[in-house]
Amino acid sequence: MNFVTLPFLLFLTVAALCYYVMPKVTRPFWLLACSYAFYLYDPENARFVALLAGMTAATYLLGLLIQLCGVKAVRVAAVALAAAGCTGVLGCGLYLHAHEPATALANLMVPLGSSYFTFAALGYLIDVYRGKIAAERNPLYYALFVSFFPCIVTGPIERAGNLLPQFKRKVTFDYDRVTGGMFRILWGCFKKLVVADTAGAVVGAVFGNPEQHSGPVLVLGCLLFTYQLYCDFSAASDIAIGAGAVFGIEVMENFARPLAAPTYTELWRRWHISLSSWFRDYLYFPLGGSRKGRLRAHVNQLIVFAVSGLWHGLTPGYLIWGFLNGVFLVIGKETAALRAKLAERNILYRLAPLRSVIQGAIVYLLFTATLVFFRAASLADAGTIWAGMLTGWTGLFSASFTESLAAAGWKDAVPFLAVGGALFIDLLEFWRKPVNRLIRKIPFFVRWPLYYALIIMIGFYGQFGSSGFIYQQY
Amino acid sequence: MKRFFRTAGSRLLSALRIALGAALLAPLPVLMVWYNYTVDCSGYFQGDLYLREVSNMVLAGEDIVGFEKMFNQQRDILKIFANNIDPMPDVIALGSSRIMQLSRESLHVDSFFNCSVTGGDRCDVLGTFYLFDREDRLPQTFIIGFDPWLLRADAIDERSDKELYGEFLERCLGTESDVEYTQSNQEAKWEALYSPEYFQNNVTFARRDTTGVDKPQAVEGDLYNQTTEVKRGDGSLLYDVNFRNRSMEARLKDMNYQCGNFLYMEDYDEVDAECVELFDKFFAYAKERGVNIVIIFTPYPSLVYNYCEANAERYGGFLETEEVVRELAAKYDIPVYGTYDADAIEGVTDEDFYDGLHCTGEAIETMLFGTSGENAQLMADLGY
Repeated sequence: MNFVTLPFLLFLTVAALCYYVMPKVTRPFWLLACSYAFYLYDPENARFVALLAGMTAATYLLGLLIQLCGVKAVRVAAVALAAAGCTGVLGCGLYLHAHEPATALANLMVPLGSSYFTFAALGYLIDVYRGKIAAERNPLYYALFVSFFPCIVTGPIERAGNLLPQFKRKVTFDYDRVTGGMFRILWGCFKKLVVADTAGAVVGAVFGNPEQHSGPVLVLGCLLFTYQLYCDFSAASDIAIGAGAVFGIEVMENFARPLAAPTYTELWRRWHISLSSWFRDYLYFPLGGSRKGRLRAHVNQLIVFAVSGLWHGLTPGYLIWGFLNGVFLVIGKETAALRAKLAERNILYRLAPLRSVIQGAIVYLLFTATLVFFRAASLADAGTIWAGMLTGWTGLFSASFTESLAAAGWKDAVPFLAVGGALFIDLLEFWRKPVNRLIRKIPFFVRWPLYYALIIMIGFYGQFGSSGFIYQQY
Repeated sequence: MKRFFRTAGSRLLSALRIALGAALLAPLPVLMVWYNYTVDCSGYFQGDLYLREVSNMVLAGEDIVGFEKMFNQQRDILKIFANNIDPMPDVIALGSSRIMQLSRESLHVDSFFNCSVTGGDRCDVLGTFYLFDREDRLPQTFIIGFDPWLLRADAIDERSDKELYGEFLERCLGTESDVEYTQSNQEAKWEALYSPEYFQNNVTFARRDTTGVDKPQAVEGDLYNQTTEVKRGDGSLLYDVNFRNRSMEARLKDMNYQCGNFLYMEDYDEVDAECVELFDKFFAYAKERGVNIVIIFTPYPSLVYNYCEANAERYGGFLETEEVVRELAAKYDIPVYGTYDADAIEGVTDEDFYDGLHCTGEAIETMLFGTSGENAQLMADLGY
């Protein structure tokens, strides 16, 4: 079920109404039923329910085994078995999906939400092994944790330590929390339908036929893709967080204005926080983190980002994207002191807002450079884009340039929606406060026109039926 | 007791606040539904009123403006037309909007009617044939605008009449329908009522300069200067003047869009053997019924065709369709004209396309009659 469709909103409304009407003790189980209903809504997913239920049962039992067994070798073997099983299923699916996308086997191996399930279940088992949390005794609570419908499609990748206690808490109806959550869903719909998908049309035209576009159009397409990806992915997180809030469940934040980050390190602290922190806790630290010297820390960083790239798909493009991000991070850390010294002498940096803009722009450009490999259909296409960026810079203000922009879809309301939408989003997210809470602080005579404006913008300019979320495929 | 009242009061207050919020937001969806119902660019709700009127105008051979209003009623109009047309035209064309530009002028035949429909799939082609066949009122020749998706199993338009198709397959071809009946027009109609996508289409439709055309009616003034689409008296379609005169850049953009978003053709590896078998049976049946079949491949822009050739692994089915159909046609002595490759047609360039899918009537004429403007073989194949 796509988050930005009327059936989802209807489903959510009915689920929430029933949730608050039924006895508190039964509510988590109602949520579990809703999660499976959400999963089963698309007949394509029906065949994966057995896989989801089977893996849920297996990891639940492994969790109990890790908790109850005193023999360390058995506990380690249980974690290893879970890790091999989960990543094996995910890895096979990703490989077949990348290399044999049309086979029935490939389709069978990439169930919706497999990434969320894998990371959530593995994180849970490792936490139980480390003794950070106790194994969940009630299989229904555990099943709800690994299939919680707001998160299962695109995350945020939740931790058992955050979600499981909330399921057991008795939730009472809180008007501000519920309406704040509903606004967060509306906000996500606006970001996805109006901004991300509008930018996506231009991005699709540019990346679809890169050889037919001049340098400035290619640059525009690449810059837009970065923003499209942010709006698309953060919109999915907004809706997940908003839906969670409606049910009184606080889902973790996944983005914190990453495209305004002043450094590359900061960007990755704010981008896809749930996955970055997952890799940090369950891969970077076990590899030694930064405890074994600078060189080792950098190598670990590169390994983590290469794995992160490959998680998106077993293709060279994703691997290069991950590796480049790792390289930029390492360079960023190594040059941090030098850059701080240079910054002191930079007169442009004396004005704090100007400094933020310049630093943010540099980070945005670097991140965009890596994303070319992420978005291009092949390495050859990525090469075409990079080579093409240097061409066609003469006659920037000529009519033919405007026409070439229009041919890529940059015309009519698109520039207004992309640029205006970005500014509008930044205005509301500037305060670094979750918008579902922020909105409740705004007086009603501003709040209600904002509701109307967002709904009207979605009604008039939303790109309906164009696509699912980009991160749905990962 | 005090706690009970406090809780109840708090819940009542919350319920009232939610009800007030819902009441304040309600006008927006209500307005959208009202707008969808009244503007109704596809004629889901207003179209029925004019169905008979439009059918009568078509039967009288009149050119009709504002045909967009009847887009979802095209198949219904066709049914009325098939039952009432008199005299029966010698030649009838079947297919999709890609053959809709074929007119009496471009075919050089006076007794012709174009029965193609927007989004025409194999259900439409065979179903429309059946409309005439079941009344035992077959013309001497059917032209089939053979689109590549006719041999793709899952390329089915939601508007096509699956029941009619199923009936034809069962009664005439002795086989069961391969198309699942998914959604009735009635369901699609009610979905349109609250669909935001339909709302946007209605806004675009309402903002167009329609010079007072609020329902389908006979053309007034210059036929070639109409601001809405014109359904010609011979069933062919004349796009509105603005669409026909779009800049080459705008058309190129549409062509580029098809490269990578090719209608029904994405990841189409090979033609479907069951669809080939179905057309094999259909051609045999048509021959048995004594009706001539002429197949026409209308071209795609060279930009699109070349893109498919360069990405043959994704468009294998598209690229092999012509060959498969030619082989099948040869088996039944069915003449085949045209090609999907515009480059292979003398005198046709990408400037002869309105967008990434539709060529002009003149391009079809050039393809059929060459630059000399004559093709005795074609006329003989049409029964003249």
